[in-house]
Amino acid sequence: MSHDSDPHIELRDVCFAYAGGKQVLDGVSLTVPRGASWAIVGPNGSGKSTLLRVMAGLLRPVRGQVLLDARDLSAVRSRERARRIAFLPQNVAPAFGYVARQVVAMGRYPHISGFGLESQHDWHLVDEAMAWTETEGLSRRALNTLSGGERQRVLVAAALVQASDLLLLDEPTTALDVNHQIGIQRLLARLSARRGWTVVAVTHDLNLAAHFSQHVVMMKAGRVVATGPPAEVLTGQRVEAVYGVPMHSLTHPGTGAPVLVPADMTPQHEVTTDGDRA
Amino acid sequence: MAIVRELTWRRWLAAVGVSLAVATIVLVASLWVGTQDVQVGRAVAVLFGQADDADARMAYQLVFGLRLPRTLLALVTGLTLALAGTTFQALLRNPLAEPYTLGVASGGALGALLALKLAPSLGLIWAWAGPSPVQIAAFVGALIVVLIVYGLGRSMGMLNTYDLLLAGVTMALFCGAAMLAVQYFADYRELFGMIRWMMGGVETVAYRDMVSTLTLVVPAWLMLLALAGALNQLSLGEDLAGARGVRVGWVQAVGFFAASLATGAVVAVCGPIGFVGLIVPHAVRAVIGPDHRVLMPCAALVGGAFLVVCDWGSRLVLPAYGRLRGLDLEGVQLPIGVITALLGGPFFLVLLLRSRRSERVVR
Repeated sequence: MSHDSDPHIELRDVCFAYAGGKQVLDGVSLTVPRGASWAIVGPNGSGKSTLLRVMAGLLRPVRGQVLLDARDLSAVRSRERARRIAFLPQNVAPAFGYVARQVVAMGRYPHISGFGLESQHDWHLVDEAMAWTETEGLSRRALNTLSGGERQRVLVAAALVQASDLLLLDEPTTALDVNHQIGIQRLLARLSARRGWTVVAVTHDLNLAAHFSQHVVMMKAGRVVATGPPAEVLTGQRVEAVYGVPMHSLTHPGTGAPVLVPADMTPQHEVTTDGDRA
Repeated sequence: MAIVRELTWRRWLAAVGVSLAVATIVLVASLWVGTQDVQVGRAVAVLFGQADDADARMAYQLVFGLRLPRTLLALVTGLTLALAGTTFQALLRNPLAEPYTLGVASGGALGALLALKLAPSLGLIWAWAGPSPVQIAAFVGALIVVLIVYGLGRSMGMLNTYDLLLAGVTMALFCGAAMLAVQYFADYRELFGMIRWMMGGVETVAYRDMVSTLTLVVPAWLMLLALAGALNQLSLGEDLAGARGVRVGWVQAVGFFAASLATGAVVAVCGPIGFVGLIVPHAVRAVIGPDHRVLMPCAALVGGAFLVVCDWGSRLVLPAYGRLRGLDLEGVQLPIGVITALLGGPFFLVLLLRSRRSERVVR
């Protein structure tokens, strides 16, 4: 897999700062190839969520460019952008009792014109996406009554009917129990492997990233400090340097992939680092 | 429960058709409702030139001079408040938001009162056919309050129920105090107009008020209905809506503008009428679900019908009480705002308790 084979989304020297705030992204350059499955990791405040929102076109870079299929994203109209990039924010909680099937159908919004309603074709796509994400059984349940894992599946189904082949997710597994974490990661891996989608997820879980992503980007203070296959990026030494926590690097007995655990996990410990990672 | 889960044009037509039928039936029935026994048939005969005796003309005066205009105004006002309530709820992602609880109606009332006090002394006389100065002032007052409440919520990061309601109540109290101050500085003649206006209600309406109100609220209705699809998206959150191609800032600006415009226009004529924008959208949502593309037209029509029925109460309650107790209360009317508040207050408390429970579950 070569990085420049077929670039799907590309960032060139992207800088971003919120109005009146300090620089959040400081010269980020990345090229995500089509069909790849990437993870963005880094300590809190390293700019990874902002990076994702810039990629989604929700924030416009102060300097630099985002290219979607070699086209400047800022020149793509919001409707067309929505048909090509799906973005799943953290903690989606609807204000009213939309049922799962309605929520999935709402993903068709950028494809429906004016005052239009969903067509037969739209509903067909909705059913297909719900079958694919194994959420058909939830279709009449209100989204706010679903568990975190069920909710994420429904929202992935909505992304499936929305965009063509690019999904950006902000911490899709953070609030989930370990069973659902694995479930969502498998779903995303399947999306990339079987459907050829490009998947970019911001995550806090280094071990999930090591297992389920082909490529890991590590950020610190608005800059990319490392990018490459998980085994190269997620070394004990680097994580120690970036997070400021001494780490042990182990090997997963089943997969052989690296597993990182904090070196000092004794309950009594004086705080000596300025890292905010617990 | 007939929640519309898969919206098709057939279902849309069915839901909107039923709402329209309810509104029409209530509107027509309203011609018969009142303390005086009127032969509506005779009044209609006068309208078509089929009768011209004194009795018939008396009936005509009652039906088309009094009952019809107040009914139409109640319909337009209820429709507007329900639509504004639904919009505020979606924009603020909070089912307890509505013109009254947000303080928007009070802002409109303060604006209107200032206009009543200042317009004559500034030589502003309502000489044109369009919106009155009172209505424009009410719109400006309503818009300022919306912007303050929304800005407060924004600056605190998230608009949670309690901050929002607290901000709304604070604005309402502030506007209430400012209104007292305006009244304090008014002379007797001005004061009479103000108090009469503040009692609210739809009984003192002329067809001219109707026309001026319609010039403001009809464009606002159309703007709000056009936002329906985008409001669905915003109900899931600004980021998700933005990523789906909704121009979030634009939709919020148009929504707040149009809902304030509509609220101001009706508050200026009827005085502050509370809770219609809360009760009606909630009830309609419980029946047909939260899809704004069908919720908004249905809530609007049902809101109109609801306020017309409240107006029946306003016409009938005190005279009925009087007859029961042997008092002469014929023709005495309970302000319509009192009726909606008596119904809406307890309803609001129940919703608040329920929202608190559900928020606890989510966290």
